[in-house]
Amino acid sequence: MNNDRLIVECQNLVKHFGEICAVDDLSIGLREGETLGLLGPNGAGKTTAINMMIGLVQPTEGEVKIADGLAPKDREARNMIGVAPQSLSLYEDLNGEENLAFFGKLYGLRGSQLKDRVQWALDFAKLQDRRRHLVKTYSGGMKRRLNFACSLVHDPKIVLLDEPTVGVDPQSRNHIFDGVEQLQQNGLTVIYTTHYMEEAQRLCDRVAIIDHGKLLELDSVDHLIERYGGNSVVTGELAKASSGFELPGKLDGLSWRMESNEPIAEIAKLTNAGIDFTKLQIAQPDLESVFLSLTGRSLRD
Amino acid sequence: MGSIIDIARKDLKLLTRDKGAMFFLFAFPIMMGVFFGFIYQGMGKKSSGGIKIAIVDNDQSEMSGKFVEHLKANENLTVVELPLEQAKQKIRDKDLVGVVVVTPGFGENAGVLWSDQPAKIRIGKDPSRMAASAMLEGYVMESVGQLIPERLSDVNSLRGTIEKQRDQIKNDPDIPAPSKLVLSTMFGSMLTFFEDLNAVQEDQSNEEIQENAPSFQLAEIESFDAFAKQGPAVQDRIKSGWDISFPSAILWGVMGCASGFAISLVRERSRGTLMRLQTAPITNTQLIAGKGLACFTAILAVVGFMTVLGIALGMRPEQPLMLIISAMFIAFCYVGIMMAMSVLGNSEEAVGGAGWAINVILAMFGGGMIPLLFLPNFMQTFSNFSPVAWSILSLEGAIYRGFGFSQFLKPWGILAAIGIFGFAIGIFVLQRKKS
Ligand SMILES: Nc1ncnc2c1ncn2[C@@H]1O[C@H](COP(=O)(O)OP(=O)(O)O)[C@@H](O)[C@H]1O
Ligand SMILES: [Mg+2]
Repeated sequence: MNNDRLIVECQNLVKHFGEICAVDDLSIGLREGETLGLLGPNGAGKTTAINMMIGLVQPTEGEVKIADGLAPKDREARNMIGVAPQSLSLYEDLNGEENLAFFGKLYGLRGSQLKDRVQWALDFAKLQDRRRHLVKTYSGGMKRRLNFACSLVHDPKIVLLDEPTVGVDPQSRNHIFDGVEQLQQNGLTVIYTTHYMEEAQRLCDRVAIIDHGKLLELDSVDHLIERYGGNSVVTGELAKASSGFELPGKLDGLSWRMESNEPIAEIAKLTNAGIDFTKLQIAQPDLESVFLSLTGRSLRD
Repeated sequence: MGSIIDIARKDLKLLTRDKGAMFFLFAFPIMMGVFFGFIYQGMGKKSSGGIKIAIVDNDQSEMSGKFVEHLKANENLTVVELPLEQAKQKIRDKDLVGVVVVTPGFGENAGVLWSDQPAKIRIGKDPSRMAASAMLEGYVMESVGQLIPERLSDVNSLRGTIEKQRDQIKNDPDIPAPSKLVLSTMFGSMLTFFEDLNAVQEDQSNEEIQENAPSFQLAEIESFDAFAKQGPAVQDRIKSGWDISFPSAILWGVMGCASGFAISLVRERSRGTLMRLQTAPITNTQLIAGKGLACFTAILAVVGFMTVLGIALGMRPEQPLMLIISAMFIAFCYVGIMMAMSVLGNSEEAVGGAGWAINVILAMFGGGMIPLLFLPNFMQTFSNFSPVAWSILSLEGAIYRGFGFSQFLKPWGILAAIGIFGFAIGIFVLQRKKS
């Protein structure tokens, strides 16, 4: 892994659809082997950005470079990239195995090599037992997993996952998380778009926060929270009304609320001072709070 | 090339799993072919008027002149005078249904009731228009019959011979039903006509003459195939009604392929799979070529399947090689049409609907539903623009029209041109949509 080498480079990308400015001056550099999250609400321009990175959408302005300066449409670049589109892209009247084999063939896989990769992908998607069933008989989660696996069958170096957990059951969701972690271990570069901040927080080395087509911030999750997350919020119920001791924060009867950037230390201080709590809760800042402080809106509006 | 074949194989696999498409590709054409095959075998067709024919008067006598006038006076016929070769060409071009040739010596025998030698007339026919040809025969007989009063000398004897003739025709298994119908009506009206005459000429009746009257034939009609320079006559060329019904039935399967693959191209977009194809290391040309190859193959499969079925039923293609080449040109043409159809709309429903509308219109004007003959004139003119008409002609050319190689060139050329045109429209619109 070489952290300095940019494997995907977006330079000042702009995309207009008529009046709508879907992506507005977006510059992102992707390091080899990292997992980058594109986090933003619906309509933020994530899919459009992805589509420009893979050469499906022509930018109004700006440029995308893959590896050492390849255009996304370049044959070599295409061989390096795998995409799992947000809208499922599968042949419903083919079975899982046939879908994988067809897409593998498009990338020039043949014979035993093709067979091995298809088997690998079926294992990856945990669809071995359903491989001979037509895709139209699959559940939403199974289709998502197959959609994911189809992007990997040709063994790409860069994988773009566009909202890979939309409309899936919790079990499939976990399969997908496991899958992403497996790719990370294998050193693949992953771009992961989502409007679920927990996913970005769990899976991504760095997160780009996007709203209205603009890149607001790009940093590691910890740094983002440190800079924009604000304090932790501690709420609790006192066992009895405190006498004499001046509590930090607000007290309303027995209900107590406090903001702090060192909540554990603060609470330790209070218990040492002999204050009893019947209930205590610490809410640490997360990407949701980051988004809120950056845009003044919640991610899920 | 590998990717093209991969895409084509994938599409064919998808096609075989689409029950609706399979119905329109195979079951529907069979139904059309069998249904119309039976109809043509029964040949219970009525004219909508205006059978266009040519006449060649090789006799140039007073009687032949009158015969031509009678034919021209027939409301159901449009008659032009042309040299034989020109007339034959026009029949091949489908401008005319047949040619009537008056042979030398006609004037001496026509309308003469006691002649040993009946007047001879030859009729050149379009083998695909048997119903019309049968009617033409009836009209020719009628016009010859109209010459009889011109030579009339004895009404009573005439009446007897006509009655006899009518019965003879009624019992003749070789005369097609519509002709019988026309002839018996004609004889019926002639008899009433002579009855009136009889009342006027009562005292001239002579029973002896009637008894001694030799067997009478209005005219001897000899048919020949206007398509062949020589060779067997029409009736021998067309082995069965299937010969006529299957070419248009095949076209329904072909049209099903075109609209089916047009829909599948749009489906790639709506189901998102186009996105994967476009990000794979293949070119747009390979992608479209793959679709085209699948469509081409499916069309050949439909034509092959229907041909085998037709042969099983009794269709006898005369020129199998030409049939195969014609099928290829048809397939090429319809791959182009498929491309043009695929850009007619953005959804599967829109393309499917528009595709079938186009198919039905082209089929209607091209003789795929009702034989061209029975269409109004303006529609027959439009048939020149319908790939259905040219496809059917090229199939018929190989099945029973006995086309020579050069005669195939026109329909083949037109089919190729339509195919290229469709391709151009499809690619042009696709490019524009993308930017
Ligand atoms: N093909 C298109 N034509 C017109 N507008 C589009 C098109 N694609 C996306 N948009 C618009 O661009 C904006 C960004 O969309 P998208 O990239 O799909 O957002 P996200 O993936 O973040 O939800 C939206 O307002 C959307 O309506
Ligand atoms: Mg999106």
